[in-house]
Amino acid sequence: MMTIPAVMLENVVKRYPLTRALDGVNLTIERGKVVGLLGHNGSGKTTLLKIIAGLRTPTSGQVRVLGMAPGLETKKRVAFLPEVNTFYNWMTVDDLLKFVKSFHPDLDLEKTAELKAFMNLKGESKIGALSKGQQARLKLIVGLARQADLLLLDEPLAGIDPPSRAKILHALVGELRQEGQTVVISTHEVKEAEPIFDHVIFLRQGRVALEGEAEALRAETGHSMEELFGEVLE
Amino acid sequence: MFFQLYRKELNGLRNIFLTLLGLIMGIDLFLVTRVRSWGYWTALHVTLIPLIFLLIWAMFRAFMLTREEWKEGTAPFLRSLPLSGWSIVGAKLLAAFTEWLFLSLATVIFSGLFYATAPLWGVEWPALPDLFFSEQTVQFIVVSGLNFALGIILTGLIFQLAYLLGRTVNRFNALVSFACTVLLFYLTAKGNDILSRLFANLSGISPETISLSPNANAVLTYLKLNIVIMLIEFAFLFVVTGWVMEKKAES
Repeated sequence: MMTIPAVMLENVVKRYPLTRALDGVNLTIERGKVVGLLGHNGSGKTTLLKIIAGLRTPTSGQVRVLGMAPGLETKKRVAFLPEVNTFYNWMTVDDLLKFVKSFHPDLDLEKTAELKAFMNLKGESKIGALSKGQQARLKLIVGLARQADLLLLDEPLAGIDPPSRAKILHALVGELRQEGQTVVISTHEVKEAEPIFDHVIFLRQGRVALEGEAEALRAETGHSMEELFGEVLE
Repeated sequence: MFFQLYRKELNGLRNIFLTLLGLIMGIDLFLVTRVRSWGYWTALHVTLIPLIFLLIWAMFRAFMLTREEWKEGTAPFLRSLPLSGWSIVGAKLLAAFTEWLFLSLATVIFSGLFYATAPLWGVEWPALPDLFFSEQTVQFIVVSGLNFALGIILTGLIFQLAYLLGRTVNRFNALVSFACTVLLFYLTAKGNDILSRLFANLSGISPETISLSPNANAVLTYLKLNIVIMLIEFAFLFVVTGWVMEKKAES
């Protein structure tokens, strides 16, 4: 029996009055993979993630997430963590986790406790008082503690200090990730994130410039992802 | 889930609610110090002035709550929750309305307390028979109050929808929102006019007939019909606003 892909995009175009954020994107993301979405600023990474998350509607083309059109049903099974701090500053960390739990019963409270300890965050801290790096960690807690089928992380390492990044990335694909969960990570930190990717997608000016299994691409080209990032996207 | 969202909105409003409540109390305390120079009745009437401010405040409140989500960057998180656009719009409207209701009640209660202290200032309370309203007056007050309340909710919804329409484009959001506000007010007024005529044909009561032969019953019926008209407009605009929030706005 064929497995339904986590994400399938067919000729997806997102047009704005003066720009084309996505220009005919065709993609299939298989389930259970860790996918790197790589590209410069303005290449369409965030737009692509938001379309998959159901926050933006494509101008044309077809989008299927877990076999469905993006909407309320997919939102129940997808965790999207945007780049900017997106939480309410007046809430405490625990308030936020309770709030998320009321909408996503799949949020594992035991796991949030583990993650808070791992990420060194206190439950009673006000979100507004957290540093940028701590807010980035909180975002990861909210995403990783859910048993979501698809985890979309937009620049998850932004604001986190370099020594912690490696630790978090390692844990992200190791003990923190739910079994069989598909993770799509958009990042500029190619060098640090490279080891965790199963599959990479290079976006340039709203188009897929190159995509494939990370291992196969490395073998075919003889280059690391960081080198390919420079070659393909410059 | 709607209740959780409504509770979140109320919690978010807490600081501003307490500030406004403090301000209203402050105004009343200030007025206590002015009784001797301004006179008791003037001071008592001034205690009700916050009601006018609250009316204007309430009209913008739902729009402000929506705008805050985009301004603070929380809109992507909120919209990534498995919630319909109608729940989000409805929770904000209801929270804004709750805030208005409780602050207005507080204003009236403080004003009542001020009234209760009349003998302290050497002023006599009006005679008891003057305090009792006729059944028709009570009805008039209730129907007018409902008209006000619905008017506030409807205006709040129009501002909210106009803001969200501005969020369907990636440039000139404010300009688009402003143009949509003007257009939506025009369309709502036009819709009100059309529905009024329709109902006038059915009931035989219109502003023209009332101005020709003013009569309390006719005014009351007209105000009741206006409630029905506003409810129809509200239902239509609410459906559209929820849809725009869920499907068309970009965050």
